[in-house]
Amino acid sequence: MPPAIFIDSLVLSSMYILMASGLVLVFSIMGILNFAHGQFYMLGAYAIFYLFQQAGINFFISLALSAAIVGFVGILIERYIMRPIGQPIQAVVVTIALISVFEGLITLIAGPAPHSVTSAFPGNVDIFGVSLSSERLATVVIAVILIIALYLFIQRTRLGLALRAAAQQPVAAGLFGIQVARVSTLVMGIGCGLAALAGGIMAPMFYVDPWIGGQPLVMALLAIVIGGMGSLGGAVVGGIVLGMIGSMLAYYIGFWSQLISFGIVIVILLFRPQGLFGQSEK
Amino acid sequence: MTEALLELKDVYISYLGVEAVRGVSLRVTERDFVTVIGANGAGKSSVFNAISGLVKPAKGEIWFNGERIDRLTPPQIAGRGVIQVPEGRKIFPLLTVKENLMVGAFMQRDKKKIAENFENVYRLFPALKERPTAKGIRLSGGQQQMLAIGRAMMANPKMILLDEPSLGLSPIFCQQLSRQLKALHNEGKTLLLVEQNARMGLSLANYGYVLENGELRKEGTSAQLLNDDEVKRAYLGV
Amino acid sequence: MDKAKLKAKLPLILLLAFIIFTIIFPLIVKDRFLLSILIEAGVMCLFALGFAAVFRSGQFSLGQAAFLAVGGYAGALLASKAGLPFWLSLLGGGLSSAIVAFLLGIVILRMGGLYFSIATLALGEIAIIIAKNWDSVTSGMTGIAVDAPIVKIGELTINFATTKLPYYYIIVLLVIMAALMFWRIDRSRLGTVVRSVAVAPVMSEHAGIHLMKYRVIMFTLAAFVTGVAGAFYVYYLSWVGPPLFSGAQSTVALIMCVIGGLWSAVSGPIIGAIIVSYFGTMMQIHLEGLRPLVFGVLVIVLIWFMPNGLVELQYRFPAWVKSLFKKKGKVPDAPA
Ligand SMILES: Nc1ncnc2c1ncn2[C@@H]1O[C@H](COP(=O)(O)OP(=O)(O)O)[C@@H](O)[C@H]1O
Ligand SMILES: [Mg+2]
Repeated sequence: MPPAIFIDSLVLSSMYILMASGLVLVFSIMGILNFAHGQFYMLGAYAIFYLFQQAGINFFISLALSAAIVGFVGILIERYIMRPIGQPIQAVVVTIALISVFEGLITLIAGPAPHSVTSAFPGNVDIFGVSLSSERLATVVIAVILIIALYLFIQRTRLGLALRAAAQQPVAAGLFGIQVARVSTLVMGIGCGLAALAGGIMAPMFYVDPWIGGQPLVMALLAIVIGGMGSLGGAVVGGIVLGMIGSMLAYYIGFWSQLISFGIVIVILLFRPQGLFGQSEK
Repeated sequence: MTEALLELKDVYISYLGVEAVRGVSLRVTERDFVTVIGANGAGKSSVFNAISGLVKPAKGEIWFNGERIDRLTPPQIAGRGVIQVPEGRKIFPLLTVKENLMVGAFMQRDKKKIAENFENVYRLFPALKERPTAKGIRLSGGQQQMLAIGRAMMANPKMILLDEPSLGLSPIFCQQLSRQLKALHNEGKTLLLVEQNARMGLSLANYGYVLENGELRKEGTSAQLLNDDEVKRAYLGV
Repeated sequence: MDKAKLKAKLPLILLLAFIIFTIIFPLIVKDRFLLSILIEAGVMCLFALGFAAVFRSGQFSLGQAAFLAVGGYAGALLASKAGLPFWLSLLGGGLSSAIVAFLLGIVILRMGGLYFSIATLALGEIAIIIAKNWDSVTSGMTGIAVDAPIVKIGELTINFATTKLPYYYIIVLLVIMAALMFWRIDRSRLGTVVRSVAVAPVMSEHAGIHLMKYRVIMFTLAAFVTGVAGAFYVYYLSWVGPPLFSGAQSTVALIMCVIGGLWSAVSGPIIGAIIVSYFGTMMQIHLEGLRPLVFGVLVIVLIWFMPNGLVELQYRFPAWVKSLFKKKGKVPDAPA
């Protein structure tokens, strides 16, 4: 496999992993799929477009701002729409309706035309005599750092422990002083912030329009299934496998690769319903 | 009459309009060991859940340590020092033994105190010390019960509520559990124990209440209840 | 006595009144545009009924649009390539969908919860990829054109190209038949068993077998109805192509069911489908660019105020009327 293809697949994997981990976090604690997760990705991409491209703010500061803003939107939605509604099916439909809301809102504000974002890391770098796009390399590095940070947060901090406890056994968590509702709100913020970061780091490589959120959501769902639901590790493994399959098959056999990706997911579901590396739950 | 640490005054609990508990009043003084016995469905867990704030009583008052707690949330009540070991243990299945215990210490900020509590738990339950990195789900039923009690101890509770800890345990584990609960009491903890296994409950506690169909039927010292004809017939199978 | 009898028969009377109303409606209101909205709403009714049937068997399908597509393409091919008459093409569309659903169902229905949902989502995507790329059969993005049917009944010749009225009556008939079928199954012993199992956390192996059987039946029947709807839709539009069956369509079915009310097997999905198609189309025309935003906000607001769907009104409305009268009754008591 040519190095350029390899790095491309790593870029895709990064996107899938960031998307999938946010989705899994939210699912683990709220018990619902956030169908608008892809639209938070789209909002993140637009935030980069306005902050970095238009206002000329430093790329990293723009990323941080975009994650904060979009995360805050997620928090407001959890706190003031989803929690009062409460019932899971209804909450799922709310997230589906939010797809229209965000896409419609952005179309009004920014128009339907696609925008492009210039690269924050132009040019190429030579690594062991192989010339690679520095933009792609930087994307992968940022994603790796984010995922490690997320892992450390979940595994090593008090809040991370509270989060895992609340996801596994919410009633018992409450009996030990953990405020599960607050943890949910926070997790929604983190999940949406992660989606925004994914959208932000991908924006310079793709174009930005109001409808770019659909595909990342589907791919994140597939990554979750491949890796196994309910753990960050599963999201990482699933994201890598899916990214590799996707770009390799696309390179070697062209368009039908997509079909094969979906087919592989169904086969995995059939033989290992808990995911390739997941452990069966409870 | 000494000041009660926990007091329930005429508590009613209903689920969707159906009354499950009617007019229950009970008192637990500090360092006491009290048991509530009753058949399945008598309303024992409901009483516990009302104390912990998981259900709101429809009527009545619950006081702890001179403060009315029946309108507080479960985390707030836990913060006051009332910790429940829930029915069916409800340990965190994918957290390690150590992490489970850390959740117990969630409200504890004092590192030294936490270390001390870890030692206490490991002393009372050596089995847990042997496998600190095992996931909760991998433990045996008895070990899970120890973990659930240890987790409660980590919270430095003023009072521990134990909901049917003997459920699903082998007789040998039950005996072990009895010894451990006694040790816990001797260390100065206030315990309120719910048991379907009335003999075990009454042999451990100093004082007992008999709950029947949501109402208090009898109360008295354990010795009185163990010798009571009705209790003997209905709960001790004599 | 008489009053009680009347009350028991009221739903039936209302239902009959509603059916008669739908039958004479287009004869009184001669609005071609409204008629076309109602026909599309009818297609959506079948679609939503199918989704609800699968949902009530305890599975959350995200790929129902795929069955619309299978039915649509099968119907179009049977009509244009094999030259089958209208009715047989509809039936063929339904049967093709049902066969696909049965074969997939016995495999993927074993998956629980979220995994089933994602598997169906993947299947929906696969259906679109195939439709877009299998040029020799589906003609890719160009799609397949289908001629409007000409049906001869005795002396009478009905040319569907000149009037939409026949489409209207056919879809009304199809919706009524599908509604009766799903209503009957929901009320059957098996249906009751499954619904009680779906709420009970622990289930016996015996119940598990029942559940699986019921799920396969419902998944297959839902696909049949959805396939017929797909074939009908393709005839109605005279064309079939990938844009008709986007994955988003599958979530539209869910929105319709929740807006209408998921607690009822039949009335909720039908009410939801009619309301969502009607107002959706109206918004498309009058709001243009604002439509997605307004639509999304309205859905959220509706769920906020009526989490159990519009069918809830049937209980709320009488209570509301009663409370009005009570207040009026109290007026004389109030000090002047
Ligand atoms: N969450 C609940 N919803 C409805 N009814 C309940 C609930 N919890 C308990 N009950 C009912 O309340 C009564 C007492 O139950 P419980 O407190 O669990 O009794 P015990 O712990 O003594 O077995 C039972 O009849 C039970 O069915
Ligand atoms: Mg109980």
